[in-house]
Amino acid sequence: MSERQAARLFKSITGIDGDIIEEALTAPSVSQKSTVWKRWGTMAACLCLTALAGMWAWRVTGTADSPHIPNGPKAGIDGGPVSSDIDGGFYGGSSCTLLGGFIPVLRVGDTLYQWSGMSVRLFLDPSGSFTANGDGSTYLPEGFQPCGTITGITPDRPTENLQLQAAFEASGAVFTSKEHPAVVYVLMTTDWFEGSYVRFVSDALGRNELLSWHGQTYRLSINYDVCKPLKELPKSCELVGNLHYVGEDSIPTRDLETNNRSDAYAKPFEGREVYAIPGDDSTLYVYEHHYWAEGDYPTWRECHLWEP
Amino acid sequence: MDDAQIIDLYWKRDESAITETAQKYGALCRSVAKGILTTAEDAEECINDAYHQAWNAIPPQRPEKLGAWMGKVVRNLALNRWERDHAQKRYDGITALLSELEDCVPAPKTVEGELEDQELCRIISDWLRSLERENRVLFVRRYWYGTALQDLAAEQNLSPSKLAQRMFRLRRSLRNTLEKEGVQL
Repeated sequence: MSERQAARLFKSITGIDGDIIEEALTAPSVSQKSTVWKRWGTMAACLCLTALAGMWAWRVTGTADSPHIPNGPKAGIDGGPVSSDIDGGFYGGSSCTLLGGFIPVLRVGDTLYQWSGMSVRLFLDPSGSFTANGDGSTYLPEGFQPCGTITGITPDRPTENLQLQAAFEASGAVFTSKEHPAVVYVLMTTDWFEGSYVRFVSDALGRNELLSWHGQTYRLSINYDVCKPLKELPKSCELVGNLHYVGEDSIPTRDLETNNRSDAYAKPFEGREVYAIPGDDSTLYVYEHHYWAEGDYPTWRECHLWEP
Repeated sequence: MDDAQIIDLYWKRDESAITETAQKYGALCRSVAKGILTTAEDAEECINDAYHQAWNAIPPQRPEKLGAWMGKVVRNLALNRWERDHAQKRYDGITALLSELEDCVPAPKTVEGELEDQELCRIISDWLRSLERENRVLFVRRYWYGTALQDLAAEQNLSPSKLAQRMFRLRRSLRNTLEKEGVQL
């Protein structure tokens, strides 16, 4: 019965207005446009909005438990709450509509965790790229145990355990893991996300852009402005090893560990070559094969020391 | 050649109209047909039928947007063939798309008759117009053009997981709209 209904819906989509069809046909792909806006991290997006709007940005409060999670929604460019770009741009600018206008924050004990997105299972497709099930089904990773349920919703920074800062009604069970203290999962029971596991992350996870080397932490980001891709490797660079992916819920600690699963083309970072200039630990260079309309070629991403 | 010039050829009964249409929209038609039928031979047959239909329909029709019009003809022909042969499980091109769209099927609230097709198209068009452009393009490229998720992710510079999340939210949004409108499928 449901397939018949979905088929009717599918047929009806055929008859949508012609200008909408044409728009999708002629719209340039994002890879052909500047991706600067979409790839900015939280702080860069805040600075941009501040400059353009002349309004408040996120304030870095420097609390002991979570130094960089903002204090709560402030006025944004369109008079609505500021939203930070944590979901590939879906929440950029004024389009955070499905979360009510700002990114939810959950308090668990002394730590604040920010909404990271639904926990969708990925697998490698035949082309060697990570892809997700089309149905968007979610999952809870192993080792996470229930620790309670969301106790209440607040529009401000949560101050009580299991309180959620959000602009929509939400409830759900919260799951934590001693092995992965930087991440919690919530099995949402309300609104758009009913029945989905949603991942929340603390600042310690570095937005899943961390790479460790010689006791230091570097930023391995697919944002072109953060980790610039070079067409030529600096001459004195030498291969120092290959990346090892430790999982998205882990904080890398050993040499060449990373918690970034994949590059800008969804290809695994596991096993990727890393280069450095001998004696200069300020920058690492991570290989990334670049695919472009004009052809593909090798590049090396400049990875600088992580500045939380 | 622009659409108006091609349509003029149809009106003049100049058979180069078909060649020009194929040159300009052949790839689009192929993409739409293969997204539903998956086998190249059946897709080509479908496309040839579409050109035949175009020749018979223009005149008296004078489509404003020829690409969208051809796409609709191809899509309808492909869907008809899919329905005819679905019992034989010959095609799986749209299986994934239908499975995803089940998320959009509204929970039945009334016992009134099914909504007229045209009215349903209007509701979906209005909902699409309410979306931001990027989301509207994403939805149409996935469920009208049948673009594969990994190709969409590459086009939109999104990771597969983020794209899956985004598509899920869009489907839920459509479902909510259909439920608010009291749509019964």
